Amino acid sequence: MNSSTATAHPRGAHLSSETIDLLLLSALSAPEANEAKHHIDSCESCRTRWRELNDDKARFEQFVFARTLPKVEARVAASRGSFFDRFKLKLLIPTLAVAGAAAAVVLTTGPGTQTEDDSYVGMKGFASPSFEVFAMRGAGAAFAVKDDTVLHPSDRIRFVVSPAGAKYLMVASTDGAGVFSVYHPFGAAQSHPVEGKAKVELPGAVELDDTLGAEKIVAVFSDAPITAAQVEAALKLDAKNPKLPGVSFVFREFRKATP
Amino acid sequence: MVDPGVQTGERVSTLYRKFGTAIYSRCRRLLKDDALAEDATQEVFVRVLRHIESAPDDATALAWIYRISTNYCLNQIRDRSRQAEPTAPEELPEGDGTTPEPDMLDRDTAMRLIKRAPEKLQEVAVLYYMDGLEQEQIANTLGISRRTVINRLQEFLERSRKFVEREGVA
Ligand SMILES: [Zn+2]
Repeated sequence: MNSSTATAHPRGAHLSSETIDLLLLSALSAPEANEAKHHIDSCESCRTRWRELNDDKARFEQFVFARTLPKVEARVAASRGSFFDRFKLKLLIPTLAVAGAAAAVVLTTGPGTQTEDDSYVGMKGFASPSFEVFAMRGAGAAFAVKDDTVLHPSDRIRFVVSPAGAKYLMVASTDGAGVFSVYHPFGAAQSHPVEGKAKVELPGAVELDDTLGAEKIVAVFSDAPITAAQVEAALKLDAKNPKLPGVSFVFREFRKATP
Repeated sequence: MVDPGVQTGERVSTLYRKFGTAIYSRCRRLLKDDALAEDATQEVFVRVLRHIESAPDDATALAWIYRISTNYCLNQIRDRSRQAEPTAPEELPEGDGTTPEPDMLDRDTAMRLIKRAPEKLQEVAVLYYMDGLEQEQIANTLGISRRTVINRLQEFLERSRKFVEREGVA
């Protein structure tokens, strides 16, 4: 602590907020922490502040955190989503084109329309779930990923789906090295509920790593939750035409190469 | 395969859990109102998140938290006092006498004096009197020179002294 301050003001007599906050975060070195604790033990004023901070920690963790986290997450998602929102107008026309292509994929290769337990597809009749992938490179504009699109490591991809009445969704990938991962909900062990019949832009972007080659991305729509293990096993058995009861698969594929 | 760094949802809640207490506690002290402090905590966290994410260590993250939460809470206080009384008492009456010892003041009193001080002096005064930060730390936290910190503290002290003489602090 620097005590040679210009105003005649005895500093260093008490702990600063920084020291107390760092002590609470367990971010002080052992000697610093010992010194701070020693001061707290011997100084009533700092002991009061330490107690106040610990009370506030208890309040925050017990009540405030849970009450406010959803709002915080929504605000953060909104502020980060706006990066993509800037491209919404530009995306509009390619989006429609891609949606049409996606519907065609479902009709020709989507086993979801042919399963025995196709309650949602059958009930909704004409509606099929769709899946679109958009990519961003650096600060450039977002572009639709088609089956012949070449992407680069560190490009970011996002997903737009229309569930068409399906209740659960997982987006998974098999990369050029044959490694399976779940992109949405990121790293999850099972599919999550999805809402709405209209297009939904899924939150979050996925940054591509440097595994090169053909990467297959699949949106897995279902009425009941399914596990990542089920999806992985179905893809291993038949990568082109996987089958799971009551499940609809919609594929996108791209090639990853170095620029 | 992906780089999980971009998937921020979980990271946001981890950082909120970690630093939320520091923000909330500060807002409670400054605003003296639990409901306002809860709202302020969210606002401040959303504003400070980018800085926390890129901070090399916890001390740097805290410096951003002090800066942004102080600024936010002082604005809230000003807004409220503007609503309560249209002419905010920013100018303090003239007078002279001996210098009070702000170190002797409890933080409630310090806060009362800070609320009466002109806007440009408030941040520095909060960090100095409420947080006990060194002038150097305040300069780093606010991104201003140490000389500016000293000048503002002296002006704050001068105004507070006159105010205390005239009105008392109780
Ligand atoms: Zn002390």
